[in-house]
Amino acid sequence: MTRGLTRLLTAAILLMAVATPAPAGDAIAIIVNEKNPVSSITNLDLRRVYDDRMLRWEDRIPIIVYDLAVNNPVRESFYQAVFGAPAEKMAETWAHLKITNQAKNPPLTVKNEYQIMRMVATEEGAIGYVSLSSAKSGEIHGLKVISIVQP
Amino acid sequence: MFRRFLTIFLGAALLAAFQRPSAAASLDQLSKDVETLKKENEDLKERVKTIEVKDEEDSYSEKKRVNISGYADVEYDYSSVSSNPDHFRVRHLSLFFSQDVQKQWKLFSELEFEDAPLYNSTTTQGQILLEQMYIQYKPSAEFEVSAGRVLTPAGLWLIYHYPPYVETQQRPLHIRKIFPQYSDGLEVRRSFALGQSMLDVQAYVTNGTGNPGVNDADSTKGIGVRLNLSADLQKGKLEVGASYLSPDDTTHIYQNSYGLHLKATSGPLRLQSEYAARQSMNPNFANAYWDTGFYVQGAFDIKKWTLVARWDQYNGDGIYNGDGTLNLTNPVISDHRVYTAAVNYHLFHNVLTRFELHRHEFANPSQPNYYLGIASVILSLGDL
Repeated sequence: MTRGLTRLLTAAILLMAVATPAPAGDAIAIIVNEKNPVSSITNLDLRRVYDDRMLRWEDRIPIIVYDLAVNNPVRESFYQAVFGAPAEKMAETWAHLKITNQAKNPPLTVKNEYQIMRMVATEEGAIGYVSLSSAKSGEIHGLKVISIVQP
Repeated sequence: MFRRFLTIFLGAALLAAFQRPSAAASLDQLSKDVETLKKENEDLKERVKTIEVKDEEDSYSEKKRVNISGYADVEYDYSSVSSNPDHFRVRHLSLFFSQDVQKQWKLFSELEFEDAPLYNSTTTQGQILLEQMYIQYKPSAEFEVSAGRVLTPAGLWLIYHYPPYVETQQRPLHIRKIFPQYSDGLEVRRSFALGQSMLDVQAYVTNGTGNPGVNDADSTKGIGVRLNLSADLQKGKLEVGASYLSPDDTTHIYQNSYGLHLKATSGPLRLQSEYAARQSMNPNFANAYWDTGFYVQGAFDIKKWTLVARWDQYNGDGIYNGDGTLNLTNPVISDHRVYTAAVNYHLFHNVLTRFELHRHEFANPSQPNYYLGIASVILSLGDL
């Protein structure tokens, strides 16, 4: 009985964990679809992916880039860690690329980590980032972590 | 002995009798708690599902919607030349409309109102301009075709010129002189991965300078190309490139425009430079000329501040002789230099204030040198 209760409580906590933004400072997991043959990614390649300079995976599958909303603390941590720049600065860069018809593969912005995990789990070439605790929740199947970025 | 055993037995029996209802009560309570938690868990799952469905619906309606965004900027211009009195300037209100009409098809347009346009029977001021309007087919991230009016793909500032994202209100001198601001025609972009670098090739065919739309009076078309190579740099990236355009306008003055550009970003530091030249001539070399422009700009971000310095020069003095050689005996009369210092302060991610000071110097002694100061506030509208 106690084991069942513990399981139930764990499930509830995990569910809440993926539905609410993780606190800034938590490690960030770089996630891809589990069918993607890539097993790791360097910080340099990650920069290229989120900077419009790497458009395909090694097996030629197009990369679909997912991003969180600009005010999400995980997004801020991600851009600070990978680019050394605030998320707003990168958002400005993308805005300028888009309105000048120079954006090749702009990131698709979704509202929360749960949505990123769902999209990455369904699209083979997708890549996204979420807090490590969300990635470990196991709530969404079909994902794999290829890198962990420390903020 | 028997009595003692009986006492212990009775005591144990009584203890068990008193404890049994209490344990049962705890078990009941536990079951109730589990039920409550089960229900709460179901509710939470339901809530997540509802949010999920709503999000999907939202994204679907967002895709269907025409996305409207834009920017606006207002300036106060101070000039040391008395003929140009200080003034407020309602500089721009620009609106962008875009929609992904199908998965690979998109419409983008920009409508710009500059200097508070007013057209009536007595007054004509400002301008209303369709700066961009293209229909785009983009089957992949590496390839796209745009038909309509595009920003001329040349250099850097001509493309990346929007006030919320550039460092000064005043553009470098040669911008829009050597290459036209926009081009009506067909543009193709193809991107190639070259090892760790990326090469973008933009090729286009256009009516030519000053000949938009139905006013194009000749059958020949200008052809242009822009190459841009981007590579990794320590904590940033490096972009180098070249541009070329051969427009043919209705006055049969053949213009060839060339450009080189470089942009380096490393952490908070940005360095940007462009050189462009235009050879303009006709079969008799009458009114033929050669003009060049060059600028180099450095910018440094410190938290919400950006400090900027720029050196800028434009020479429009290369007059041709009748035999096609450059006339070097003519005095250099149209050299123009501008020294710029600017400070940007980002109040918020979509509100920017800026102060810039330009020192204009002319080689022509009849043209007085002067200072121009511009204080401005710039707002980005919507989700750009």
